[in-house]
Amino acid sequence: MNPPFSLLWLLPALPLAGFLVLSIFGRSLPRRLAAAVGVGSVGLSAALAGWLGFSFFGGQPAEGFHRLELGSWFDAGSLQIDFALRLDALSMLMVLVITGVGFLIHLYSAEYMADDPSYARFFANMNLFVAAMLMLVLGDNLLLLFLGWEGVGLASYLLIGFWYQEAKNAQAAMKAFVVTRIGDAGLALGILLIFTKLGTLEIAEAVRRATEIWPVGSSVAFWAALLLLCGAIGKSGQVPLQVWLPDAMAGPTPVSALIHAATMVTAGVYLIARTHGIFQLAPQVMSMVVWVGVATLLVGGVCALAQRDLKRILAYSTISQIGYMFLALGVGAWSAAMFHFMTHAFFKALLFLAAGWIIVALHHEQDVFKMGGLKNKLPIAWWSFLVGGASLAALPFLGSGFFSKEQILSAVWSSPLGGPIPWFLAVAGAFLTSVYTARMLMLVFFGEAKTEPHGHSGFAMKFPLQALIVLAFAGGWLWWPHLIAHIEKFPQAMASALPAPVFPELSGSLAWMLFLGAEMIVIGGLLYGIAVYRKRRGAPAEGRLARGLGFDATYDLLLVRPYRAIAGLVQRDPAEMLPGAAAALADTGNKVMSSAQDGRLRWYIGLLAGGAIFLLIVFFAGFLRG
Amino acid sequence: MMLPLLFLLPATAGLLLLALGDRVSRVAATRLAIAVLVADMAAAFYVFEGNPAEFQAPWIPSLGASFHLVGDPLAAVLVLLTLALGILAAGIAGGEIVRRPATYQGLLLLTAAAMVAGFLAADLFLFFVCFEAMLLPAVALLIGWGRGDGKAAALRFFIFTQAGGLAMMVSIIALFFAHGAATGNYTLDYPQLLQNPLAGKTAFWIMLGFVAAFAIKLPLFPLHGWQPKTYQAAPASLAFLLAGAMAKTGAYGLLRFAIPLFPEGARQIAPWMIGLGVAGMIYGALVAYGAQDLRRLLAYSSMSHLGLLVAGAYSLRALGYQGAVLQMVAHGLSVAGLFLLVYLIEEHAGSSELGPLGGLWQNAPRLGALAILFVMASLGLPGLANFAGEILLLLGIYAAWPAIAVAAVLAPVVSALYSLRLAQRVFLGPKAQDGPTLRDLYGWRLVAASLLAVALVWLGFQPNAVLRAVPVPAAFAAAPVPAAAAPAAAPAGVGAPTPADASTSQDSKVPDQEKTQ
Repeated sequence: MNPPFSLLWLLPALPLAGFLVLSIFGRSLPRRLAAAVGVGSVGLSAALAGWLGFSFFGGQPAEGFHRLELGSWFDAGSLQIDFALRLDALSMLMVLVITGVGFLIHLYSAEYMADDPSYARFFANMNLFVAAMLMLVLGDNLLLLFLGWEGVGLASYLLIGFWYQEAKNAQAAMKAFVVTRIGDAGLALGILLIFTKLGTLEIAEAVRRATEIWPVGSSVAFWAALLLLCGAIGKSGQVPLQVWLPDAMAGPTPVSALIHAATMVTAGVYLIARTHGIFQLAPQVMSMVVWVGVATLLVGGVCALAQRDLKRILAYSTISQIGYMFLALGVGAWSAAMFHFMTHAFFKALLFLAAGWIIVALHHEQDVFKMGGLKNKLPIAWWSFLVGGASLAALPFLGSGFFSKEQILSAVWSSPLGGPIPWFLAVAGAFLTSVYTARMLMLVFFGEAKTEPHGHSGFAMKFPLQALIVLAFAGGWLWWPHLIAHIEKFPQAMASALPAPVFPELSGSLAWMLFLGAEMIVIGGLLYGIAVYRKRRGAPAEGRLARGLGFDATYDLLLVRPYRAIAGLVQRDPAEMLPGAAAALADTGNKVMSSAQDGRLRWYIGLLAGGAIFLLIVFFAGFLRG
Repeated sequence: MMLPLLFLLPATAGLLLLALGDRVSRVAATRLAIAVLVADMAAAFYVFEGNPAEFQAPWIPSLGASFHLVGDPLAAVLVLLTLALGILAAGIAGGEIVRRPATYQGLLLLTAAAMVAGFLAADLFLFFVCFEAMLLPAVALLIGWGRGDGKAAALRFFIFTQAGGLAMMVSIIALFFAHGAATGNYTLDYPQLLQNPLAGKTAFWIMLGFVAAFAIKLPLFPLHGWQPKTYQAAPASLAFLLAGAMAKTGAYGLLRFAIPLFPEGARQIAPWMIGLGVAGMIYGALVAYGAQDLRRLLAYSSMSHLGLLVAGAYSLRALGYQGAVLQMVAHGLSVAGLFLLVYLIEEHAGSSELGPLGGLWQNAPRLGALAILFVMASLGLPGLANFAGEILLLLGIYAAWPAIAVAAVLAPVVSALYSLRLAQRVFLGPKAQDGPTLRDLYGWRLVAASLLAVALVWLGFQPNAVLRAVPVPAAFAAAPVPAAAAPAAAPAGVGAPTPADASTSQDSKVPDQEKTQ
């Protein structure tokens, strides 16, 4: 049976209802019920998404999308904004990943967070996140997208600071919010520009008008694309705004899995893919996207090598992998970027959830140098890390990451916006990836045990891991490298929303050389990592790399401290100090008077005497003269 | 005929309370004040239903002044806001004022009555009288019940606003003669003045008198010297009413009088006003970020939000006007919510200093959650009322002055900085050692805070309730494109049509004609 697509509104409405119920009645609900509402609302949403997705990809609508109008948001003369949802292939993919992976992570959380006193608040915020994220990808206009965009920012803020009693967590939450907001200011300016120049904020219509009106390479297209890119960089943790993401690991681990790995941080990738028509008009911005991606994947990879905290390794790895998605977007390989988004959501969620398993089993130990020998003690975590790690490192055919990264690499070489240099740097990044993956696996699972795990094995935590192992392993089979097999289900499904690249596919011996060369480097990196970390178990000193290459220190010096200093300086507000003679005079008069009443008797008497003498002099002076 | 009732009711009740004085108990006075304002609000809903209500009676014929009241949608929105916040203020006063509570409530009612009358006044002299009249009971409250150096603050407040009032009075007299000389019709009746807006040098100077009065009342940077001390010294209920509603009389004055009566002058000073507005937006946010006292923080954050409002209003675009109207309501509600929090904190901590606070969420989960919501409203989160206002203001500013808009979009960043710092210092983090413990929201406090929160969310998703009701005056619908408006981004040769510009006005004949000039 074909589902009615008018049910689209239920997708965000269900988790939103969950949020409202949990945040209003949460504290009076029994835990089981709170979990049922929190997990159930997202579960229902996922089931609906599955139903819709099955039908959507089974027979795509002729015009490529379904649209649902729910009423007016802004009815202000020239500005007409509707609450309108739009489901095309790109949104459908995002919806499936958000609700599917989201449901698994909610289920996992039901057990993972079981002992937390603020159980209902956790699920309330998680549901809020899912609702906002679905709004972000379903919004038909830039303002609705922005509603979701800021909504996920709020949820991220609340969840990073979930354990707000620790000042460090609250600070990390604030940092995440403010840093992404810097990017958002750019996005907001982009929205103003697009509305003023194109007269609409409806995304499809704006892109259509832009391609009609703006010539390729025109400066207005340049600014529009650049401003959108600003927003994307902030949200997706790309260089130079990546600094918030490692600190965001202060939140509970399921939060890191859902928000700071699988979904929210890829919102920037979605934004660029969604408005790719505008980016195509601005080749300069496209190459900026390439270089942002390259810089990020290298910075993330290098920093991941030096981290001690398991979650921070994964955070830098996320930064780096999203760099690959940006690289793919920059060379115009839209589908490849979204393919990597999907596989990354699977294997990174898997790695984070397995990391959470390990961390809990080791009594909240997160330092990889205090782990070791867990291979036989935590078999499910080992299998998860094995499949997830193989996928992350893109080992040939051993995980979905291989398939998506391969698509990106071949597109980078052949695209006119890419070329050999970005390709070599991306392969260097792949080398780093397999080295830090090997390091992580060796330190955590091999060698002698340093902390003894205590077991737990509820179904609610186990099943999501098992499901994600399958997805992370097999999710890549939707799109094979064309050298091996012609299976292109993924790009075909996306074709109605994301056009195929305009440049030719690699073929012949060059293609084989690049393919084999990249794979050899990846395997080389793995072997190198194993060789180095098989023996070395001592923790290195905290270096520049561990602190994220000094970005934080630089911003602290150039932005944070000056802002604080100026804010401190203007506390003596000149406008308040010199408000005009009258007020100042009155004020001083009053100060003298009130200090006189301070009870300091000597002053009081002195002033009294002085005043009396003054008056006498005046009086006598007048008397004598007159 | 019902229209005068809207301010006569609270005024009479106020005078009654003043006359009875201490013969009325604290509880009775509070109940009476709340009951009167609730009844007044019900009456207001009834009066504003349907056609714009109007009332006119002869007053001072020699001045061309009559007792002319018009309850159009703009007035209606602000009257309702004033009464709603007045009810909450009376409730807070019932809790905080121990000494001579009946007199306090009486003066509070008089303040609200004068504001209501001011929003309804359709005669310049009547408006001036109300503008002054709302000041006197407020100053009396500040002197009689102020904390710390309340008298100094009262004096400062009085002198500043009186200086503005004086400027406006001179301007009103000058306008009377200038308009009379130009048209032969000596009048101070607003609808009549509106039909023949003055232009030229004299009109420009006359306009400045109005602008000065309203800019001080708002306050617009750098005329805010009275505000922080006043907000710090005022009793919580008065600060609540001052920040939530009385500051809006300044914004209202710009939107209702200073711009529509002098469209040409408004165009001339527009770049200055937008510049000052944006400068104040950033400066206020900067001071608020460093503030060590919650009331001071809110004073500067108010200035920051209202700075953006002024900038949007002086974009002279329809969207800027609508954004300004929305922002008046949104800021009224959100700052009221924050002042309510400050009051609750002071109740337990004894002061509004940030120093000893921290980790208050732990004992007060409901309060903490609503505090986060008010903080999010203040930093302009979409889905809450302030965003709806701000995005329209920014669209207006961008359409008129894209270069300044680049600075204006810093609003979400700088407001996030001080708003989140507030949340972090007060509610998050570890509980401060020997810091105060808060009792969670209960009773009327819970109802009041929840109602404000619901109103913010509702308006965030349904700004149309205001947008559709309030028509855009001609002065905002017919702004020409300034020569410098071509954004740095757009090369002249692109020939991109700007449909937004063309259709900004609701009657879009005028801009086309002006573009060709």
